[in-house]
Amino acid sequence: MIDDPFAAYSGTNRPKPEGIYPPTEEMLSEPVDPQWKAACEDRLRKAWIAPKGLAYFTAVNNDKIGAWYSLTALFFMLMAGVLALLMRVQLAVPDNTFLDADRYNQFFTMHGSAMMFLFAVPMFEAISILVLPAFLGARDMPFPRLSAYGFWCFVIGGIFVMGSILFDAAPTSGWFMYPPLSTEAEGIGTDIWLLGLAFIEVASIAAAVELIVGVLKCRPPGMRVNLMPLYAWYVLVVGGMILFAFPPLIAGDFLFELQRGFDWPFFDPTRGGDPMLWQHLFWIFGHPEVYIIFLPSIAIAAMVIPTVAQRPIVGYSWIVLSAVGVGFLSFGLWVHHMFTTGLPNISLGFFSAASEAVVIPTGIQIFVFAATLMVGKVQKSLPMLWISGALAIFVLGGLTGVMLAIAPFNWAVHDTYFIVAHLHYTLFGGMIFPVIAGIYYFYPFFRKGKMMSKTLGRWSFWLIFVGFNAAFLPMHYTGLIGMPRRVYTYGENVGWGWLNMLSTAASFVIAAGFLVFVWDLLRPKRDFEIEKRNPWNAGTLEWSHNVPEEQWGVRSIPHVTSRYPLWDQPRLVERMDAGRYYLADTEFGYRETLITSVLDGQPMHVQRVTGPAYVTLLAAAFTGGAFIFPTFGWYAPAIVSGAFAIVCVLYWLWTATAQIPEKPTSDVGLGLRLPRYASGPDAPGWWAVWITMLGDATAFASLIFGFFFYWTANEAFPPPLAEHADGALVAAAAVLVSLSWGATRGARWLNRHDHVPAAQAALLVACLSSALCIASAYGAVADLRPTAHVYPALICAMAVWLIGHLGLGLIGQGYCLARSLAKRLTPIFDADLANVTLLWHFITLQALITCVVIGLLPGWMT
Amino acid sequence: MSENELNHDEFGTGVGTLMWITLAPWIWAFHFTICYGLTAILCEKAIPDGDVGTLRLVLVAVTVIALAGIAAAGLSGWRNWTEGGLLDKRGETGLGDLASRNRFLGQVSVFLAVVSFIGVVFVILPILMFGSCR
Repeated sequence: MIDDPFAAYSGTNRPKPEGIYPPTEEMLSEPVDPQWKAACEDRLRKAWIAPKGLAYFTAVNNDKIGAWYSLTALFFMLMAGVLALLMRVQLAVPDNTFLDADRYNQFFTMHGSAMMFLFAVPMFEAISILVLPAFLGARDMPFPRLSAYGFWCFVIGGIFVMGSILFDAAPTSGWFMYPPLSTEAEGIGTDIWLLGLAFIEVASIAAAVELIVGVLKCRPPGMRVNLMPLYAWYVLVVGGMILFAFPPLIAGDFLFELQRGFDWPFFDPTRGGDPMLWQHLFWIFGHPEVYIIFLPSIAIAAMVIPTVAQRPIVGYSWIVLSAVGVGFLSFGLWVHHMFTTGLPNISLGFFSAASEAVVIPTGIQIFVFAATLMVGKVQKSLPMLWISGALAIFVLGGLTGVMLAIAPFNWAVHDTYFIVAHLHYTLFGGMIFPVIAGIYYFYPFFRKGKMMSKTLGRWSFWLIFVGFNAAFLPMHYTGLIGMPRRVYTYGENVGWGWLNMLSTAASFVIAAGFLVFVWDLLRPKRDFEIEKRNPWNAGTLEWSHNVPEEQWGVRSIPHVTSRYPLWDQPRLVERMDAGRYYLADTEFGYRETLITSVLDGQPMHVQRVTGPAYVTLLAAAFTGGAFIFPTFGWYAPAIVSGAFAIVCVLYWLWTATAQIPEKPTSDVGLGLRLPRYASGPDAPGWWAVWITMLGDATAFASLIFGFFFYWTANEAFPPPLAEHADGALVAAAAVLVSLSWGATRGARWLNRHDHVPAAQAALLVACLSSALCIASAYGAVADLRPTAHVYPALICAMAVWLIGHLGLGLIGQGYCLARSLAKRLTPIFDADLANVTLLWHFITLQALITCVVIGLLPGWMT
Repeated sequence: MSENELNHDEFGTGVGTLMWITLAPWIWAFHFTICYGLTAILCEKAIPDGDVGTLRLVLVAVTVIALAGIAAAGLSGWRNWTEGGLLDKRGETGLGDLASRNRFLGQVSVFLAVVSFIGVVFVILPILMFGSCR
């Protein structure tokens, strides 16, 4: 082909960035042609136009999704708050009959579950999706449709779980769902909790993928890791934590639902199971989760405080230390929720020690904030008022945390109101107050120049602050004198009445404060005078936003050389507006953003980002079906719904990802030409696969942990006379999976070196081996009776896990083969194949470990 | 005119370098896992009410290795941090150049090494203080 613009390139010689970087001052001061500028703006506006009418809900822009996401989370928070008020009414006086025991159980379970799963974690994701691209001067998140998919999954799952309370069908076993209470619970409450929340956990992992890739690959040119806004550091750490914290719970949910649905006895001690495994898996998730909630909220403080003090943060590296250090140490704390379960005292000691150690990095960031405020010129403002309240309350919660980390004290107050007081202090101080501070601070950014009311803000602060302390400070004492958590009523003679009445009265003061806040947040502000673009005189990129609003994110992507570019790079905003910087235009009318290198933010390529689509909505709806139908035991519709979800996702990938570009490179401005396609580690998609599979590997590791856990917890595991997996078929599966992996890897190499038909043949071999491997894995366990004992049950569960993954890998191989045959995957444009190969590295590793564990290990153990 | 950085050959993707600063906390995590795992297995399977002398010896040895590893991670970070003089104006970690980025990564590694060192010492205390599993 003579006209082929790619004729000069091949699979091993791809387009590279060319031209000048970094830009010189001379280039930056060159004026922009006003006609060209206007034409660019027109083109950008057209590319980023928001869908109208009914299609409005197909929007995928981060500002839309972020706003919907946070308002939905706020709605669930208010509902969970109403449940809290109803519980407080019930507890106001002794022997009250306002709620019966069952309804009270439903309410406290849903209050905790909703606050954690439907508010705190999603709120972090929502706010990050909303503000992160602006912090980084990016047009949008790297995978806008994935954000949208995650959001719609959250909406469907949230309504399903929260709605159960209206049908008297909500779970009743507490937000941590301990078996055997929960496994034996009647009705579908437990299943709603398990499946509904597992579904939302998937959405959380989607958000983590999006945010990690966003921070690593979508920074503006020049923004090295030592110049990132602190919020980005926190997002990176929290994203990593989600990958290691949520999967154990997903693995736990998987085992739990197998017990609920099919009577596989993972938590039933009469058949070798052990309820303690659930406690471990839940709290390996649950404790880091507290920090997953806390860190991004305190990240807001790290953005507000320099602005309020009008100076750079004191000790940037100390904050990074603190975030990373807390991220790690928080995984060594989970057993402090299990101090009374009879583990060896020496084990408790390890967790007690780690729980005390985590105070060090947590304390450091509080001191960094105090130091920044001390050396700066502090301006009084509403965000700062809320931050001060946050610090005061959080420090109190932290101090009781230090007390609770000491095992003997913990034994004394376990499951009392002291715990209730402690956890509410940490969550109000560590999450609610900083998030509200953030909303006041970022409101002029969200609403493009409009501000929230100072008077109403002060009212709501003092109502919530005073109400909170009046409600929860007495609870420390209520707990110390013996009131247990989760009792629906108490007798007159115990003397807790007046304390409870005080807490109840104060809880309504908190509610009044929230009403004022929500009214101020949502009330129409049409006649409001538009304030300045940067009302707080902040130094970070989000305040270069366009007022009035434009949909394109940033007009042009700046070259950044400072932590506070708006303070230190005087003509930055003016040049951004003029389109002097990168990607001021869209050559083909596509939505695009810039991908840069991980450490130094060097420009690497232009990434086309996806636009509005119905398919994401459909994919979310069908995924919802796959999770929701099993609640009612409707497995056939669930499978059909899951199949449709897969079809939707495949359609979405086929039509919108890894598209072959019109030309090899594009002029992005300032004398720089960048490639329009990337594959392998250069491509954001490859990182998304890597990150997702890391989370998946963690879930798998939790299953393996379960195997060893049962081995330590049982007298004999495997039990004598147990049936084992068929050794020959397990060995066959190991050989076939290796073959499939080798063929996939080979296909990538062959394709890249221009041997396209050979690559297609290799993919065909890979598909066949995967299919045969599925058959042998199934055959290996087909004769086992998983309901008899936990040993065959766990073997079968691991086989189910493996077959699911092989199925996914098979779809990936088939997809690549189809793409290759359709000429959408070529030697130069092989991103799909690179991603599927990466996927297969993980699948193969898991498969081989599974084969060793179910095939060889039992023989060694007996 | 500053030099053209486009062709600056970055080793791999850069994620490896970024992960390198977390070496010390990873050592903490492995040390923690070994302490917890070994104790759980031995106390359940081998020495339910017995003496933890051997366990103590093994874990102290593991701790010494862990602390040495953390110290090495800290030292290597210290070298990056102080390259070009610690108290010099050039010692800043917030400038938009390569040297400043390296100093920053070095500084964070040192800080994390200190926290991890304390963490490891904290975790080994119970095994020194307790005479038995119970």
